[in-house]
Amino acid sequence: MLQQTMNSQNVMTLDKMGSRYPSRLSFSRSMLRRLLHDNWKITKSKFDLNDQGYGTVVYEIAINQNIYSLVCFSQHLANEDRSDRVIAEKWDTAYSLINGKLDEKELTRLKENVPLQESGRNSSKELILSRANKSVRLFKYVVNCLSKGEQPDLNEINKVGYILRTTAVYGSGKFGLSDFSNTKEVTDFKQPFRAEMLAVYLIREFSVELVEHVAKKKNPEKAVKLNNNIKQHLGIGNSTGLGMAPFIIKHPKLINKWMSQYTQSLKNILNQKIDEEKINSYFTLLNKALDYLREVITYDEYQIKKNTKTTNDLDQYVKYIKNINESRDEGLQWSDLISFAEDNYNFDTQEIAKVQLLELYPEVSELLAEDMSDNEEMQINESDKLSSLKSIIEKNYFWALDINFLDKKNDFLFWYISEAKLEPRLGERYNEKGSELEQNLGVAKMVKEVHETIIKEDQDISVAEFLVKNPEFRGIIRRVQSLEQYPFAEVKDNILSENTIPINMLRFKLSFFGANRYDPKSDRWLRVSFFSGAPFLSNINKENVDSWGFATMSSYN
Amino acid sequence: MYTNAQRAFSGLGFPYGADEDAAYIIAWLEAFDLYGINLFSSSYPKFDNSYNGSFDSKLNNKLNLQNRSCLMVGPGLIDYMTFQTNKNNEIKIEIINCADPLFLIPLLYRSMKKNIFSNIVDGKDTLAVINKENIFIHPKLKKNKHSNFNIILSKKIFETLDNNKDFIDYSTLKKNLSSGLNPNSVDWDIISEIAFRTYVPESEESREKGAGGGDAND
Repeated sequence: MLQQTMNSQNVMTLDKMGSRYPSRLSFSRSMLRRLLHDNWKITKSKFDLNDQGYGTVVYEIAINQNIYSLVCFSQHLANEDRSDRVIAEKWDTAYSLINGKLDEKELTRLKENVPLQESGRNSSKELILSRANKSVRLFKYVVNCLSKGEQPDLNEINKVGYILRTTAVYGSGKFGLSDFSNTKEVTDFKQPFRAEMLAVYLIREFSVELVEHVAKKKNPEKAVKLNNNIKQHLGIGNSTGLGMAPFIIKHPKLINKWMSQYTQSLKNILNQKIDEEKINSYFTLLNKALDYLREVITYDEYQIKKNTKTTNDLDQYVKYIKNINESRDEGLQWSDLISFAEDNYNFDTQEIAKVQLLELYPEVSELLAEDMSDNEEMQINESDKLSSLKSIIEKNYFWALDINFLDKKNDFLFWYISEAKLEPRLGERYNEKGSELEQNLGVAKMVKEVHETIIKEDQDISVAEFLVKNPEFRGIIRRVQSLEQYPFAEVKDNILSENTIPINMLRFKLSFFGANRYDPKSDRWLRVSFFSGAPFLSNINKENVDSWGFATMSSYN
Repeated sequence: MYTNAQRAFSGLGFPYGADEDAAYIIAWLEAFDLYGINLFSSSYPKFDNSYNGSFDSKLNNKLNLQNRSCLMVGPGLIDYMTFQTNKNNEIKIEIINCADPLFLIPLLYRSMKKNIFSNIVDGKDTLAVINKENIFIHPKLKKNKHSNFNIILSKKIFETLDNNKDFIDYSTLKKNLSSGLNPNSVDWDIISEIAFRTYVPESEESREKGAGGGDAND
C-alpha cells in the first residue's frame, strides 16, 4: 500500500516529476505566509513614473529590524526588441532586490547597471536581479478599460493571466549577486528562493500599480482602479526554459530535502482517520482543482491531452470521494483514499489528491516548509572499500545498470552551456556539434561506467587507492557516496535518452516554486504564472493568505 | 567564483570531479585572502591540456611529484593519506619536487573537517599546521614555492605555534563572503576566458533546437 507515495524509486522518475502541482510547501506559499505572520511592512519610498509609465519605483520592505528595497526600472521598449529569449538585451522593466535602504548614490549606481542585467555589475548587497516584459495586448486592453472608467473582462484577463512576465529571476551568487550562503546568514531570507519569491510578488504588485498609473494619466477624470476580484486573478507571468533542468541534477541534496519534506507531510497525515468536516473540505478542494483544470488555458497539444485526461480522472475521484462521504465508513484513513487514487488514476490526479490533502492539515506542512534547505557539501569516503561502493551502486542505481549506452537512442542527447548567454542547452549528439563539451549531467551513464570498471578490480582495496589510479572517477564516486542516504536526490531516469521530455524536470522545480497555469510552448520551454489568485498587499489577511491554490475566476466572489 | 573556476578547470582538460576539487582549492584560497585566482592565472599554462592526477599508491612514504601541480595530484594524495590515517592513526610522507604546495592547504582543511589533523614540516621549520580553530601557514609556504617537505596527518591535534600574524582564522570566510570577493580583474578575465572554452558556439539551428526561450509574445 502507498508504494508510490513513499518510494523514491517511483516518485523521482521523469513522468512523475512532470505531473507535480504546487502545494502548501511551495516557496511562493510559504513566503506569503511569512510576510503576513511576521508582519513584514512594505511601503513605496519612491514612485517616479512619467505619463507612459517609464521611470523608477522603489518598495521598501521592513522585516524585524532590517530594511530591504526592491527597485523597479521601467523603460520604453520597441516592439522588435521585446523577446522572452534569454539572449535578449533589453526589457520593458528591470528589478533588483537589495539588502538595505537606498540613497540617491546607490540608486544612480543601480540605474546604470540593473537594466543591463547580466552585463551590469552587481555587489553582494544585491540579492536578486530580474526583468520582465509586458503582455502588450493585455496591458493595452487593461489601460484602455480603466482609463474609460470600466473594468476589464475577467475572461480576457484569464486568457493571458498576467500583465508582466519575468524572463529571468537571478539570485544566489549569479553575476556577482549575494551567494545564498551569505543571504541565509545576513538577511531574513533563510529559506531557498524566499528572496526570489518576495521579489516576484512585489513585481506583481508593481504590474498593477503600473497599469493603473498609465490609465490614470491617460484619462485623469474617468480612470478607475482594478476591482479586487480581477486584480487578484492576475499573476506574474514567467517564461522558463532549460536553465532550470540542470539545477535538479546539480543540487541533489536540496532536491532530496524538498521531496523528503513533502513526503513527510503526507506521512504525518495518511494514517489519520477521516472525519466528516475534513472530508467535506477535501471534497470542496478537489472540486476547486477540477474547476481550475477546466478553466486553465494552454495551446500545447501534449498538455491539452494531459489536462483532459486529468480532468476526467479527477472528476471520477471527486465522485468516489462523494460516495465515501455518503457511506460514512468510520474506519477509513486518508491512506485508503490516496491508495485508491494511485491504483486508478493518472499521475496528475494522484498529485492533486495529495496536495489538496495537505491543505486540510496546515499545521503539518507549515513547519516543514520552514526547513527546506540543506548542507549541499559532497565528499568522498576515501576509506570505504570498493565492495561497499559497488553495493551502493547496485542498490541505489540499479535502474541505470541495465541501460545500453551503445544504443544511440540511450545516448542521444547532450547538455551543454551555450556561448551566447552562458545558459544550459540541449543538443543531439549524433546530429549537432559540441558534444565533446558536454556537461556532466548524465548520471546513469557515468554510474554505469564506474560500475563496469570497479567490478574488474580487487574489491578489498579502498576507494582512495582506486582513485589515485583512476582520478577520472572522482566526480561520480563522490556523488554516489554522498547521496547514499538521500533517497530522493537522483532523477531515476536516463536524461540522455532520445525520449526525454525536458520540461518534466522544469515542472518538478516549478511546482516547488508554486507556479501554476502551466503552458508549454515546446518540449523545452514554457510559460507559467506565479501568485495567480493570491491576495495583494492591500487585502492580504489570515483568511486569504493560504486559500489561493488552484484559483479560478470564481474564487473571489 | 567556484563555478567559473570549475568551468575553467574543465576547459583545461580536468575530468569531472577533478575539476570540482581544483575549483574548490582556488575558491577556498581566494575566500581566505590567499589569492587563489591570481595563483591560478600564474600557474595554469603548466597544466593546460596535460592533466595527470594519478600516481602509484605503493609510496613507501615518499612521493616524487615531478613538479606536477597539486591541483591535479593533491586531491588523490590527501584522500590517500586520510585513508591511511584512518587505518593507522598517523602517516608521514616525504614530498619532493612539489610545484605548488599552497594548493594542499584547502585539501588538508577538508580532512580536518573529518577530524584528521595535519602538519607540514621541513627539517625544523613548521610550514603549516591545520587544526580545528585556525590554520598556521608559514610565509615560505604562502609563496607557493617550497618544493620538498614532509606532510604528517594524524588523528591527534597538533600543537599550534605562538605566532599570531601567520594564523588564519576560519571567520575570515564568513567576513569575506559577506563583503563579496573581489579578485584582480586581469586574473578574473584569464579564468573567465579559459572557462569560455567549455561553452558551445551557437548556430541558428542549435539556438532553435536547444534554446529554452521563445518569442511567442502576447
